[in-house]
Amino acid sequence: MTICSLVIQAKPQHLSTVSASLHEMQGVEVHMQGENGKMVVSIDHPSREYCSDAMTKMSQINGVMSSSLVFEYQEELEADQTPQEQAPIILSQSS
Amino acid sequence: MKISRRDFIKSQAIAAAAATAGLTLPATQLAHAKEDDDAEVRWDKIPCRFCGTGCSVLAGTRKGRIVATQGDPDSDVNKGLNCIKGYFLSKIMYGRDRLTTPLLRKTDGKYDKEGEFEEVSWDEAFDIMAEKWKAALKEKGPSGVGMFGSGQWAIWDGYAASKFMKAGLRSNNLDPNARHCMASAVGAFMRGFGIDEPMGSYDDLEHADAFVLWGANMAEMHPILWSRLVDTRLTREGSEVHVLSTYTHRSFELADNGMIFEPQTDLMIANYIANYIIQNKAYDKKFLDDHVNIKKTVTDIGYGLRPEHPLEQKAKNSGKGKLSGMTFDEYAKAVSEYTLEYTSEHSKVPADKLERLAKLYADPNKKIMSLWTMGMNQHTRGVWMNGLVYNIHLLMGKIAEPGNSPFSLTGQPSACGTAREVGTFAHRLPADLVVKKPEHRAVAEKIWKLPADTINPKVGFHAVLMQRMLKDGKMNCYWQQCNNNMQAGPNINEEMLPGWRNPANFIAVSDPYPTISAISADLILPTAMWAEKEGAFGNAERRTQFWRQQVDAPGESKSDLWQIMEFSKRFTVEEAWGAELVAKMPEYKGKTLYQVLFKNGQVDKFPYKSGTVQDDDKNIYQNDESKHFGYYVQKGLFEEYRRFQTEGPKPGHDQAPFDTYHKVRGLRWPVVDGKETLWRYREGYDPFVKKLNPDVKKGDVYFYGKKDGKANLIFAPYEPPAETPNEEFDLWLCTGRVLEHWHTGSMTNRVPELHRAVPDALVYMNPSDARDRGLRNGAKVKIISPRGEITTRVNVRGRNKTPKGLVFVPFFDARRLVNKLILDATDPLSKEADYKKCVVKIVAA
Repeated sequence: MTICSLVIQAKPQHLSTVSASLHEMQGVEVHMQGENGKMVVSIDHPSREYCSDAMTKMSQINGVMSSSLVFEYQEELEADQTPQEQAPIILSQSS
Repeated sequence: MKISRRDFIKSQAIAAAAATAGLTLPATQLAHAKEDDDAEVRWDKIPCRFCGTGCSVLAGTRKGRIVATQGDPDSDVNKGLNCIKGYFLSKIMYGRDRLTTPLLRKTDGKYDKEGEFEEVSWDEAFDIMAEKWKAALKEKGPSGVGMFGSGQWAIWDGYAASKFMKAGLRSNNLDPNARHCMASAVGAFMRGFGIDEPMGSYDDLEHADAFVLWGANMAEMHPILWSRLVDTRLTREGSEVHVLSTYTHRSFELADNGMIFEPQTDLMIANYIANYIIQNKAYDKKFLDDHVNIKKTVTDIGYGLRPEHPLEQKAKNSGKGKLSGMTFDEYAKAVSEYTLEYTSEHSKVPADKLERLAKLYADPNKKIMSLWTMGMNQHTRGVWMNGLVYNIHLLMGKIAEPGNSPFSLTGQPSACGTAREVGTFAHRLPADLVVKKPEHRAVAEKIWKLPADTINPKVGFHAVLMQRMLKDGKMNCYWQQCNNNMQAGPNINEEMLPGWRNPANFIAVSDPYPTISAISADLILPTAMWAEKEGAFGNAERRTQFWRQQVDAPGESKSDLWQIMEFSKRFTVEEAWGAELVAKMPEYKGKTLYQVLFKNGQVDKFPYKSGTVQDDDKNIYQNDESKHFGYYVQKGLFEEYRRFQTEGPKPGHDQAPFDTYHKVRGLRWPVVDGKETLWRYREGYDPFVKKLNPDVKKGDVYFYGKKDGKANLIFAPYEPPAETPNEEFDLWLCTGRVLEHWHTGSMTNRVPELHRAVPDALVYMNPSDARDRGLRNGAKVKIISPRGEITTRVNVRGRNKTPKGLVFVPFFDARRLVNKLILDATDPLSKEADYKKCVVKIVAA
């Protein structure tokens, strides 16, 4: 289980399109937005990988000037069997 | 887990974000569900592990593990926000290949440099290390050993290392990886102002009218500061953002004036702006007369390469930095060469864009914050370039006041607090003192209770030179802590790897993970990570921040500090100093370095027993080092270190007492009577101004780092880079980071979802360059430089858009060691390597 909240700063004139794009993302909710383009967003999803991807995607939405994480909580539940892979280390003096 | 707890956590998350955004939520969304007792999460403040911004984070610990983080709402730096990398703070300690025992290369039960790694005890690890170090010291003296530390060391890790090497082994072969990132900035601070570190603070982000980014991609590299800048830009009338770089990156999205310049011509652009200011008589004559000395610096200074290199042979004044006086008219004449036409032609920046930038600086009513990091520091003329930007601000008097701020951003979390302030460099001591000055050495010898002449007056080997000395067999023992130099250093294959594999040398690497450095070493020491020890960092705006130990280090891993102090027990003063020096203080006869350096009545002054470290809610925290050594180690070290600030000849570095920092969200030094300093050198903001210049006028500046209170405006011309694209190697290679990965990825690549998101370093290339070489997006290619080659894939559509003739490759990928390609040319004054300009060719693989 992963729960995150973010503050997204959109260019004020793009507020509605950014909001719409966010609403389309699974597990993502927009809780509120201000006139100055600031938005309170949460992600609630069992997969850590999904959350990480979602945050990157959010920052790339057209009209988003900055996206900042506020809170993140992560707990391994029996239901989340996200396979744990890691970066391979290559030991080779010639590569 | 109960549904109610999930709702509780979610509502906590949303409430935190709403508070940070300054928005109010409807009351129903703030409902708190009842919490289980055993789900108790303990929240405590800790600085982020990553960049020099120095955000504060609340870490949530449950059952001995960090499970959650939250941007600290009480932090003046980030005010409740975190960047995407903050998401990984709670995960970087739990990679599956975390090191938990010392590992030594062995064959048939004995140390063998060609052997395989086997688990050994700490005792055995230090046995072999001490044997090798003593042999090297006996044969070559203090220059035979060296330590390479870090701008990510906690303050007392660096301080203990400095004592051990300089006071203990009398060796100045101690340099930090901050040499690779901030040395040029430091050089310019010392030449221009006589003291290190910015005169302004992050508050300038809210006071400035306009921002100029010189070769810094803040949107990805200092995202929280960027979000503050964005806020000002979007809310302040007439605010502008100008961005200069050698390729288009994320920060350009906000730019009102985006400029792509030919590598190295930033030197021309800065001089052009100075020229514009003078031609238009926009300069502040009174400010210049009262507060500035104009100087010029020796030119044709080479590239910090080996002395036999043709470029060094050709240079008339290789490595020289002497300053001499210049009149205003001479200076005006010198910059007059940099006309708009000349500068535009060579930099390839359209004239109207350059002029717009110059007009901005020349406008006396616009408060300007200039911001820069690696583009300007990792530069063969980095010290000069930093100086040229200070020149612009000094000409206009736009300095040391809210909003007018030439701000050198720091990359690492404690390059300031540890490397620079503690002075863990080959030429330095704490508080801006230097080994070459007898009166400075005397201060260190007094505070450290050493016999006269203990401190070595000869400057030691800096980062790049250390690797050359290992290769040449002139330095035989090397200990690397808290960095991954085998991946992050320049010219790996020609200089570094041969040195490490040289049979005459013994290489020890301390790290939490099996990085390329660790695997290339002879001995690996498993190291505790930041939240597994009580620590302190100092960020880019001079803010010192402390944290408590949140969780335990796994297995037998130990902190850098523990390792240094334990290792010091292996040497007696006779072995380290020789009989003659010991005879000067016979009470030290037969003592170990540990006893002299740490059990000296000062470092061991403060008692410790379990329960000593507590927060405001009376939660008790561990402190493994203090428990082990039997006294409050960190407090003793810090309080001794502070004495350099008040008993030394360089004023203005004062920090608060140890206990204060645990209570507050950091303080910006100098801290006087409990009050921090936001703007230095200006009366009314900086208490040292009046202290050192009682006649100063109200609100005026006094640059007390220099004897006459005046700053140096230093003219320097354009000089070409070490390598320029030619017929065979026809592309510029620039290297750097991406948002998701920190440096060499040794931590961030251990987070599975992050590794999967950005697994490979790609080469960002211009579409027509790709087309001309018959390459499509995603094509496999070889990038070849005169020094080596790597294989990767092309990206013509990515976040970084390069101009024709330049490619960009990030350095986080251990399978694509881009630093094999880099030339180890440095700024000859700062000794910092230029990672932004070398030459390559690209062919299909």
